[in-house]
Amino acid sequence: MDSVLAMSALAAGIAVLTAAGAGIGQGFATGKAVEAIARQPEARGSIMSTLLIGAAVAETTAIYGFVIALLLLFVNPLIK
Amino acid sequence: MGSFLFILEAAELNGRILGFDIEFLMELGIQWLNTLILTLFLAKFLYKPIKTFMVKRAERISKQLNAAGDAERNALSMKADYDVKLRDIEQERVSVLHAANLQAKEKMEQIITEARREADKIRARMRKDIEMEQERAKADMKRELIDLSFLLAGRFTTASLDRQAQDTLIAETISELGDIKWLT
Amino acid sequence: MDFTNHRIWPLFTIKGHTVYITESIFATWIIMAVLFIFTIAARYKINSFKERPAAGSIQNLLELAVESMHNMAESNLGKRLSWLGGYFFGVFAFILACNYSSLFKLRPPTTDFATTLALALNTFFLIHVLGLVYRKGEYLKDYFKPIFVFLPTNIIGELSRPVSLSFRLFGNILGGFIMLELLYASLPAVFRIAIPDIFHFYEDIFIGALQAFIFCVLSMTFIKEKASEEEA
Repeated sequence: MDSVLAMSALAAGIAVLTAAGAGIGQGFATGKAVEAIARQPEARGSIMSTLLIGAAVAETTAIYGFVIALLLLFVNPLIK
Repeated sequence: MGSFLFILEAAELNGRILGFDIEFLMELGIQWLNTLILTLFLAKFLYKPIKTFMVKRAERISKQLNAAGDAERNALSMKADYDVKLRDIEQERVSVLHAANLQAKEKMEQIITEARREADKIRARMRKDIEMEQERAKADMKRELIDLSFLLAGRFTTASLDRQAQDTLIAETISELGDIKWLT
Repeated sequence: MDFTNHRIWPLFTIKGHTVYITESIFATWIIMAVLFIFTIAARYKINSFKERPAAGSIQNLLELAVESMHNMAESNLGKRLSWLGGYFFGVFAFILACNYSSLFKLRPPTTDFATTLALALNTFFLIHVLGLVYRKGEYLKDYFKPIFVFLPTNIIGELSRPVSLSFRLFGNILGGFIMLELLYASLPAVFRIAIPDIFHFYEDIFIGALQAFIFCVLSMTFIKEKASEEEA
């Protein structure tokens, strides 16, 4: 029981590491968006909205990791 | 680890973050109803009236713009008409003025000739009058001379043959005659 | 340090599970009441709306909201489907009010997966019902593209959409909520006055508005993808 809980806590930590990928992806996207705005400042509005949507989609994986961590910590199907 | 367990147990007692069972399904149903009612209410009673208001306003404004455009077009065509009319009036004025000038000149000449004729007539009449007067004056003078001679003759006969008296008489007569002659 | 969704009032019991009115359902009702009152007040005020609203007035704000939502619906859904703007106006207002409710020490209903899943399921139904209504056979053919072997993949892809939509909203708001709760628990009472405001500003005001916007835009994009004839 205790070991299952300990491993669950570790697993939750590892699951949250998915945020790293999302962070890198969003960083790339934002950098490209800044380049695009620098090249074409008049298209700022549409670039920004596209960036926001893209960042939100890229964030999904990180959110999945976060939800898995929550499940492991608070719902934990393994200890029932 | 003990505290961790305590949190888990407390969560089980008090509430939870996430769980997939019948309770969750019921909550889902309640929230589905809530959100549906709220969103449809907002759509029907907030979004729609404001949108119809804005659409109506846009229509009204575009109508006003159209009306203004029509009015401007009308005004422009009216102005063009007036310009044409004004040009016509100018031409008419010039022609009327010219005609009046001509007429006036004609009339003036007529008047001048008439006046000349009248003056000639008057001059002729005057000349005739003067001649007549001269003739009348000549006749008067003749008559006077006759009267004078008669008078002289009368005096000669009535007065003495006194030389001196004769001289004074003659001088008197002559002075009277001069008076008369001067008077005439 | 308790960020669970508290149970307030038991309703009834099914198969050993008691159904409760939870904190988030209660918060939803408060938000609903506030929005209802606001709507009714605005509804009465609309009769006295002026031709040219004064800067900073309620009318100006409402017109801005309605017009931006209309433009968003037209650009993301197309002319034919832009009548859905009203529904998404409601969804946007509800999510925004939920996310901002944590500023008033309510538990945001969007930290309850039931709320976000309900919203995402509405979108799911809209996607498929509108797809069937507007494109009929073409809509069904989409499931066999590029070849019929991809049928299960396509179905799973379709099913994953409401899941990703709901988890995105839920995870973002719950993450912010938990971080703020942790902050409040870890700070000494003296520092609980001004310092959390910075995090409130980011987590609630910025992320809250952003997630409401993203939920609407993604829903619209999904609906257009399935229900609009312009592009398969």
